Amino acid sequence: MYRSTIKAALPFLLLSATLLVIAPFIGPFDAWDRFALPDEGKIVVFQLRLPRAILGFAVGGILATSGLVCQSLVRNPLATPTTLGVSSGAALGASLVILWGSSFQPFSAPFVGAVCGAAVTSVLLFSLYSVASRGSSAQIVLIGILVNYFIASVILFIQCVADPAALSRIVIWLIGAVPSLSWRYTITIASLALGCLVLITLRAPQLQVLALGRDAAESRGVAVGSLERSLLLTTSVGIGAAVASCGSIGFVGILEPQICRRFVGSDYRILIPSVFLLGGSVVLCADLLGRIIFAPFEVPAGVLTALVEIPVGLFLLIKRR
Amino acid sequence: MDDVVVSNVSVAHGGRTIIPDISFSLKRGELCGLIGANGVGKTTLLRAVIGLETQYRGSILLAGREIRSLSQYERASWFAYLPQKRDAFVTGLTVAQVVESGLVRFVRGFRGLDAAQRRTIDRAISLAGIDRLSDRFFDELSGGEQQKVLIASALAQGARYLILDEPTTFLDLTSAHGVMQLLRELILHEGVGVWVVCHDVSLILAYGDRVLAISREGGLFRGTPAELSGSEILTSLYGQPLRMIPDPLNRFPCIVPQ
Repeated sequence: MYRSTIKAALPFLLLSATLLVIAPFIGPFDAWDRFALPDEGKIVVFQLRLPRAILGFAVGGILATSGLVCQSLVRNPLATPTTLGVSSGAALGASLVILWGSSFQPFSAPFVGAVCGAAVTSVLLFSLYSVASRGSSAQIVLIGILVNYFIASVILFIQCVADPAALSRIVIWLIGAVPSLSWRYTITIASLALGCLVLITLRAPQLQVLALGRDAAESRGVAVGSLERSLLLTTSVGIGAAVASCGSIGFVGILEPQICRRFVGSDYRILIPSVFLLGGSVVLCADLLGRIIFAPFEVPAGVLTALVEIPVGLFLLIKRR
Repeated sequence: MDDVVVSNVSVAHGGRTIIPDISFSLKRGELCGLIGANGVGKTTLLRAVIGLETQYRGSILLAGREIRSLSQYERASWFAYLPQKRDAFVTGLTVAQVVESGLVRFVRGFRGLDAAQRRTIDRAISLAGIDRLSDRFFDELSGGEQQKVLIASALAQGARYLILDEPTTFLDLTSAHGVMQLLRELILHEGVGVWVVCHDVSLILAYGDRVLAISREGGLFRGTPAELSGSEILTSLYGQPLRMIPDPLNRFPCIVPQ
């Protein structure tokens, strides 16, 4: 049973590997044209596009995995970092810092702002939920949606008062795009994403049992409170890092868990990595498409994720098991 | 000593008393029923006893140790719990996965189950009589089948007591009796203790060894099914005169308003 689910995850692995290998060679500056790769070709492929592909993949992976974690913690398929407001929290944290003007480096001001924003929102969300005496799972989604709208309004307010230069930076960044950043930054984010993935996957059996309900999981010996806290912290750091790097790329995290479940089942030890791979592929794909459809102009990945994914997701959801 | 001793336990939420001062004990090898009208705090009492509701006064001793001092892991070896509300989103879990969840406290990291744990699972599945379901998806099963799967999962947990909150509520007539018969067999063959909340008083009268009944005023009746049915207690429980029609052939009495 275990072995067969590993096999079911292979398509996601192949998809990811293929995309990661070919993505750097595709784009307006066609590396295939010059087989020998002169110097500028090498720079474009290895210094610009490869780190960009890895960054997009890591960010997509962590966003999708966070979506699965949110859905499992809340036990509701509507819960994702986006719908619960955690991504907006990160965006708010970073926007505030951008107001004062700052560039993106690992652990620089916007980065810290985004991580703090995500963490504060998660804590706020779960405190509100506890105060509401642990109502139904629909209630925390409702609370999350309210928090999300509240934060979105604050971000709009910031845009109103921002000076034109900061405003354009914020707007472009809110759409969500995968930038070409230094190798150092890329590797930092990629290892952070991998670290989050490992930490989350280590809690896979407990997370899987949580599907039966909070009380049921707790009575089976799962320390639900500490599970929730540690996973929220992990995903907050991950979402913060993702949003700080690529802005708020929307619509990653809802469909990936659904799609992966259909292929690999609900063994979370396999499901979590599969969701990571699919999420990474989706963002990488969106970025790639954005680079080529109106070349040399680029369409930000954040515009395309939903356009790429929703038709596929709808088809799979409507088609019976 | 595997006894559960509950002494002078009371629970209050926000100044409102939910359970006033209740004392009783549970034993292994017995089916104890808990009955009472809606809203008298049956579920709250249950959650307190198994350590999920920690805001209580009084003492709950498991073999002489206060439940609050036990770790989650130790509690899980005492009580396996089937909640009433399935606040659940079990999409995609197979029956086998649900049963395996009973062993989650032994799982560390990526390792799968070892051979002995596999046998525990298989045994729980065959005891609950769900062999033919084990490859199906949990959420595609009928209510009665789901209940049996959850009981198998509780069995796999290897706890001393099975605690069930309204296990028969959504079940049809024969499925409800099927679940109660399964519980009796488990008491007989596995020596577990069973504590079950049930609104169908006649099921408790038929299958129970002992009955706990919480009245609307918060008083607690403790006794055997025979003592309960021979007295005026039922009337005081529900605040309405009730009449019991005995079943001359079997042991399934019928209770109707007078």
